[in-house]
Amino acid sequence: MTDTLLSVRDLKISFHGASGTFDAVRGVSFDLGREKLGIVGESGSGKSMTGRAIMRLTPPAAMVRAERIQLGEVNILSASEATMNDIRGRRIGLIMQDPKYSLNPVVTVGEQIAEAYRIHTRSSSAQARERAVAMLGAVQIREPERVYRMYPHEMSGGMGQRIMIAMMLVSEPEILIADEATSALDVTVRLEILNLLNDMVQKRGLGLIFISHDLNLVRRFCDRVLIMYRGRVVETLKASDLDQATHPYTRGLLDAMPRIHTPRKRLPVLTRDAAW
Amino acid sequence: MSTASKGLTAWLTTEEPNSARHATLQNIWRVWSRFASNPLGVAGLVIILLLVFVAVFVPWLAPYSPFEQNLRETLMAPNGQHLLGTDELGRDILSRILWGSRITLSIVAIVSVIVAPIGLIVGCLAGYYGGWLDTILMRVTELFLSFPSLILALAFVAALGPNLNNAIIAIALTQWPPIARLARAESLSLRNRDHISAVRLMGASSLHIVIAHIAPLCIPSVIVRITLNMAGIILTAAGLGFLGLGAQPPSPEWGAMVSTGRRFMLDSWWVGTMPGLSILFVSLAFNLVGDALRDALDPRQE
Amino acid sequence: MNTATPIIEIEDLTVTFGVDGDERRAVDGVSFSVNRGETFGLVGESGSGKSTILRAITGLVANEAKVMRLAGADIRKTRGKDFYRKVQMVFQDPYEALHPRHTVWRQLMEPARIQNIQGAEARGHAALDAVGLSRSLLWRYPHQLSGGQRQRVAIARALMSDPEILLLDEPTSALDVSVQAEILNLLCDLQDERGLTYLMVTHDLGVVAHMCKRTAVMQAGVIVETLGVDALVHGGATQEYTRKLIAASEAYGEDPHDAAQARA
Repeated sequence: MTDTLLSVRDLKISFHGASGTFDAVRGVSFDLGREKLGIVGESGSGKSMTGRAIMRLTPPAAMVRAERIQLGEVNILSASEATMNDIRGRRIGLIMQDPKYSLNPVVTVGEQIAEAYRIHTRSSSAQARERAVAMLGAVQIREPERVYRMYPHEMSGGMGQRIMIAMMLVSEPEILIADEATSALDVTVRLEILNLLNDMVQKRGLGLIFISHDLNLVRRFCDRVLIMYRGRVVETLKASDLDQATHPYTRGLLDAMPRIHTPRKRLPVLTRDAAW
Repeated sequence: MSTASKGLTAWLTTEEPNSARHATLQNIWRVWSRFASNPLGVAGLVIILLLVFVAVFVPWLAPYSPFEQNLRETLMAPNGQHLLGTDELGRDILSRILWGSRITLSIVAIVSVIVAPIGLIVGCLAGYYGGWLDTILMRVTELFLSFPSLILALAFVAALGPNLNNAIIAIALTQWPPIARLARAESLSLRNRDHISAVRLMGASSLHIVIAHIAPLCIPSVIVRITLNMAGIILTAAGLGFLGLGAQPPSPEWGAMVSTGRRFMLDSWWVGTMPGLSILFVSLAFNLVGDALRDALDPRQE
Repeated sequence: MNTATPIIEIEDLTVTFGVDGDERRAVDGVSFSVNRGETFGLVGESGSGKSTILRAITGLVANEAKVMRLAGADIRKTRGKDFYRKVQMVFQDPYEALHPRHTVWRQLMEPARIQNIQGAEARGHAALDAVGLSRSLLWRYPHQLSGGQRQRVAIARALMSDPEILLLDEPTSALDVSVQAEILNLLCDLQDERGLTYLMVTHDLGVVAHMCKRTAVMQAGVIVETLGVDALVHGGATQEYTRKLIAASEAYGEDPHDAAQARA
């Protein structure tokens, strides 16, 4: 972790509705290097909204304020929409939970990957095609030439997620945001996808923001973990030090999970403190 | 805002309603606040309410009788005495339009009352039961759909005899199939939802499920669809009137008025234009309300 | 439980989807039995047919079986009023499982109305207390409740007919971890108080280990093996697929120290 790819300071996101103002994110700060950074939280913690704000993809009703969201030399807060379009996909990739919603159903997956490459590099279509096939191979798809011609509905969940990863990595971004990217997958498939992501991060030296609700998964997979609760980062830890977590929320989450090997009669229930 | 109305708003928006009635009123309030946030929808609603108001109080509002002829004042351009001018028999056009609102409104009301239940019943039964019942009901529906609605209405009126009541029945006959199709599509997707499965696991009969669970959930989209179709209904009624197959003279039906106005189009434009504008505004209003209702009743907003 | 009597007996259950020529067996010759008061798990990945078994038992999907007996009654052909009283189901997504336009109270009163239950109001209040829901939520709609509250309402609704068997279809997989703990505890408490029998479908081995005594591991419509949870957890699985499933769950799931301790 030598250089900082992305720096976020005091990020605040709020929604103004008929029933008053709702603060989804209330002052989040972190730096991302060439590492796997996990953002963990329950529903409503603001973890996904934080990921969206980095790409400036928050819903129109959201008010985003921050002291700084800096990607290299670009200030995301004040960048033009054209700059942002260039950043999305080329410099920051986003993988979401369900690849079905992220892929165009009437275009073959290979063409979509090639298209993503062409948009950001202005290369010839032959080059792009070659590159897309190579990328399919890189995400460990057997027979990439055949899969190139397949449509999204012909994919299983695991394969769809590989395609998404290929599409996001083909333009060689600096940062990859995975928002619950493995939550819908079966455990055996999840294992393969995580190994693949890990491989990609190591080989290409990119920064990965891994947003998830699964504390156990993040602690085993990531280098560093931010634990979010109701729009705030309550604790930042090295993943391997999660057992030394001091915040009662983190501790409560850890305790509430059923364990395979040490059965307990009852699961401890998290008591929430309004002051967190 | 007075303290009383503040208290009412708080009562309507509190997170802890304390009776079934309270919860229902809150629900209505939520739909209304979403509707009210759409200015075009509100504008449409104002026009429709105005139409209702006029229809109810027209004896006191209309300056002249709609039927009284005055052959000395035929085809007068709009002036201080006759705000919208007079027609070829010297009748006051404004009064005729105001009285015509009753006809328009009754067409709209009667058609909805006939169409909504038929469409809902046919669609929900076909969608929920499926199988041969679905096949039969949908083939019948498609039979009706395969003709343009005006042509079908024309055929019915020709067979039944040209008058307003027959026109209304004819329009209703052409308007239920799209509603049935809509209700069927909704029922099909509702049929396999978990909350319907849960009711089945309580041992409920299929009929109970259709009546108490499927049909009520289809009603919002049916209401929206009917409201959006109102414009079409009004135009079809006007079309039948225009062709002389709807309301018969001297009844001040707007379509029939446009039809008469056609003969004087070149030198007395107001005779056809004024009722034409009325048709335009009212059908536009129904469309706007329908659009706003669609957004307001959409549970995904919540 | 040596003296226990089976309350669920399933033998050679098959569910076929699709029409002639393009048939697919979602469940293929599955047999198991569950004792009264027991929690029996059905574990597997998506498409293994585990949820389909629950839907077959309730008659929501057509099926064939040599034996299908619940609480002593043969339910292969018809399910009487009694069946719907004794057997209830809790679904994965509580928002989907509740009527979107009914208040909490009306959700609870619906089974009472259909089944003509006497003293429905008292029972409704008792069910609310049993699942730990405050009376102040009585007149809310599902969209005004949190995920955990919704699942509590769904469980309370299932309790209205005083059932003996609850079919649990991934009852906590749509919930946050801390809420999952609350719901699992609640299910355990209800079982202790009422002697309920649970047939629980899940993909989460942690949940199975916590809740169940015995479990069947499913793959592609077939039960790969049926084993005690102790055996499952402590390396007693005999089938290749079961071992693969455990390994995958442990690789990025289980608390590493915990797993290490267990191995030591």
